[in-house]
Amino acid sequence: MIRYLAIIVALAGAASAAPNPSFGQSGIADWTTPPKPTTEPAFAPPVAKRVKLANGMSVLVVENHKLPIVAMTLVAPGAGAAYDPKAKPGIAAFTADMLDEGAAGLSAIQIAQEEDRLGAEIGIGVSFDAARVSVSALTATLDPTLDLVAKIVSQPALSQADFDRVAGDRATALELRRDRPREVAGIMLVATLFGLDSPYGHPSSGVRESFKSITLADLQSFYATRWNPATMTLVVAGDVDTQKLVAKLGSALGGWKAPGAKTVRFAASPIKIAQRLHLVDRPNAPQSDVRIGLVGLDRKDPRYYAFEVMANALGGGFTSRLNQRLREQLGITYGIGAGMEWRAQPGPFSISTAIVAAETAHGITEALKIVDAIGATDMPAAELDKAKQNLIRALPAQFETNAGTAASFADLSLHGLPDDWYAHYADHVRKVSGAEVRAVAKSAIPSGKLVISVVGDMAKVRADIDKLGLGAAAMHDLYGMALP
Amino acid sequence: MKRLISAILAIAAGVVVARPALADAPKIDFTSFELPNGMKVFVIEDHKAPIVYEVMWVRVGSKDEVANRTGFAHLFEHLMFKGSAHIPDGLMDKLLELAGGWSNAFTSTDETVFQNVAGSNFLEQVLWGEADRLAGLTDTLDQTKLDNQRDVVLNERRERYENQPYGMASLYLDTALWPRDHGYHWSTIGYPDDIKAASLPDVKAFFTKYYVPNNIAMVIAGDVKPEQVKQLVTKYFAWIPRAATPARPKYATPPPQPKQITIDTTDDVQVPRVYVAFRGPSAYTPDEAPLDMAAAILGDGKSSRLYKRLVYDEKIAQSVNAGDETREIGGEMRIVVTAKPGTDPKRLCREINEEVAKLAAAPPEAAELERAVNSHEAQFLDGLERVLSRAIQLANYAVLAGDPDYFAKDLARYRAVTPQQVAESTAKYMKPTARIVLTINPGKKPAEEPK
Repeated sequence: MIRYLAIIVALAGAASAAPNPSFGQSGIADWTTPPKPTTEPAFAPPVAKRVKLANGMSVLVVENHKLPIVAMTLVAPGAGAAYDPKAKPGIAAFTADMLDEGAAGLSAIQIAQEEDRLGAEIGIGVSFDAARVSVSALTATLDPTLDLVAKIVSQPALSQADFDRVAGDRATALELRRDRPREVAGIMLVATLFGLDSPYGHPSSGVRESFKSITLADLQSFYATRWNPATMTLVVAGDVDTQKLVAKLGSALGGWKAPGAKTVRFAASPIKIAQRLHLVDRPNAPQSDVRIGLVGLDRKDPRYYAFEVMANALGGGFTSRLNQRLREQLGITYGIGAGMEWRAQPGPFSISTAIVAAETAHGITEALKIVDAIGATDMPAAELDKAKQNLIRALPAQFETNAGTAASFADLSLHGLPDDWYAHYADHVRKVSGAEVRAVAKSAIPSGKLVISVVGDMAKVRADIDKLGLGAAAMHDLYGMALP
Repeated sequence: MKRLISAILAIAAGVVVARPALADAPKIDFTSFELPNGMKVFVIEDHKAPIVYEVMWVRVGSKDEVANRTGFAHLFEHLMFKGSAHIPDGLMDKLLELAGGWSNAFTSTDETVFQNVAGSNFLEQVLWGEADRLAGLTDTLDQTKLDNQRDVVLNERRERYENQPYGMASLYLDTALWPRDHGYHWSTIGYPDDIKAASLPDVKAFFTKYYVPNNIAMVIAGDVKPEQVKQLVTKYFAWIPRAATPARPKYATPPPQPKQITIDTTDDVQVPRVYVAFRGPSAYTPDEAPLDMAAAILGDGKSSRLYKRLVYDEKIAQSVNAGDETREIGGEMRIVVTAKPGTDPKRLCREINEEVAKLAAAPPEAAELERAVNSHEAQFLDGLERVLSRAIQLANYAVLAGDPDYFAKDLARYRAVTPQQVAESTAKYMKPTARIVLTINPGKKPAEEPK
């Protein structure tokens, strides 16, 4: 760290050739050296208490009495989009969407009214590996809020009338996808990496082409087999008394059983990539939405920490290599970032940005060069330190809110990591060396394997992109679906 | 139910708050002082996480811009991150990231608000960096940095407006709601030609005029001690000279709009979207809370009237939204409805107008208002959990409400809203003649921008 500051300070002296004379009146002799930090504050992540309900549901509780509020995350592993039946993508997300559209005799509107009355907010959604229910509640109305949550998750109506109504909304949302080029660029990349019909390769909300084939019976069957309380984890963080809470949960959720639940396994293997370049023509688009990526690592890979340090330096923060070059030097984008979407099996790594149309090919070239460079030499000490300290010192912020705390522990549970994982995080990050960063970049994100997807005005960008030597381009429609 | 939540807030007060439990309303604990140069400083002590948050609220926004320089306040905000007298471009961001933090800022019509976040042991470094740019931003600013950020801002404009579906709507609404000679007539992002025309002398003049200690409110929040903050803030900022109070453009309240304004345009989209907008009250004026509750009842979430009618029952709309945005010298009440394919947008307009008229004519049921107020209070309480949002809220109260100790009062005014007031504020602000009705139909992106 000291060496890092010393180098920068030398630069600082050179840059400020004409200091403002008024600084002389400040009484501060040295403006050039950044003031040293005081003693590093101690930080210990919160500790969760773990109990099991009668039906097998795991409950993790983190008490925090600062404010009279409570946040909860219920994770349902196996109820995520990766478990969509092959020909009918979108069922997991549709099922999750339906739970609060009618339950235990309450209509969707009555449920929403009850949430407002209680000062509670209940959100349900899916990732690829799991479905999640996120709740924010007030301590004073926690018990009735838990009753409402229990109704939604364990007694959803899944009625034909609600199905028809929500199906209409979801079908329209899929039609409107065309208007969201950013989303389309991402869908096209991931479909190319895993295959559109694969567990990890389809958009979680489904596609227009097959949406109409989804029936209410599909959702009922998905709910009965995939929403299994015995495998769920509920994390509760906030102003609760653990004993009372567990008793209440026992009565509200402990009796919920899913006799039809089944364990399903899938293999999310990457497919052979025939073409690296995937394009959508969007006439008159003033900028191009670009995704560059490949299938990366899984959450339990031993290179996890080295990868996170590498990704931080490559495209994690404002001072990352990609953002410094494409935004702060070239001025061709408003921002660019890179990172892994960590999943139970290897998920997509991607670089994401929107580049002004005329500079699209230039921006892609620069990004690929930067990826090459990060795997070519050991990461310099100052940059390595910045990335590592950024990860370590930013960890406490994750636990600032109850919702952040709940989500953090839910994440561990989903990936089968120990509850005290965060307590050892800093030690693991500190151990990462510049050579390990280089090695993980070289092995996990070789630039020659990167797939590039672009949604933009082909009349403006195509000629330059063709000169990049990325091979023949595969064309897609405005929804990201491959054209024949 | 409403009273119940009040009681909860009183309990909350015991923790974050100076006067414990018996107090009827929460009081967010803070200390404050003013430097001799006029800079106001507020300190929120909260040791929950070892993090410090610094918020610098500068009283300048796009309404203070001059002719042919729209977008300038925001462009200037970007330049504040390009190095200063003793700090080369990029160093401050590196130091903050090394300290586990980050920096950011936002610009609105009325203010520019900077945020620095770092591990709490880096407090002095954060203040040093802030003082160096406040005292000497333009010492090292050059044409290259200006050119670079002008390009970045033009990219931001593409990303957030031009290349967003329906992204130009707010520009149409701003230009229609406010007369040409009013500071809210143009959007904060500005027009590309004006952004391109910005020069180094413009930057220096703007900096000298507005970025002065007597035009700033600062909040330091988090894992800090008030006496330590006072000592360090005094050390780094007290020497910066006070400047003349910025002489800014003054705007009269525009006369009422005589009749409905209708705008029909197109965008590269699949379905029509209808915007119905009205001028609303300024922030912290008595009509704000009742009109906020009117917006919630009309179109905030699945329990709202427009959702139930247009999305749930009639299935002619894909989504509805309503919000009352209040600013320093005026506000905007806006209802946004996206059509289902095949729905005639005229029908949406008609039904929106009917629901508005209904609310103007008859006060809502007590239970309906109670839901809106409870939901508002729960969100308010959630907002207090994040130290940074508490800090920004405090600065907002200090500057716009003229009272930093406003947390409890803010809640109280929502609790006091009556059904009758909701109807009255709807009738007062959402008159048929005062409407702007903007319809964006599927088609091409228009070649011309609204001016």
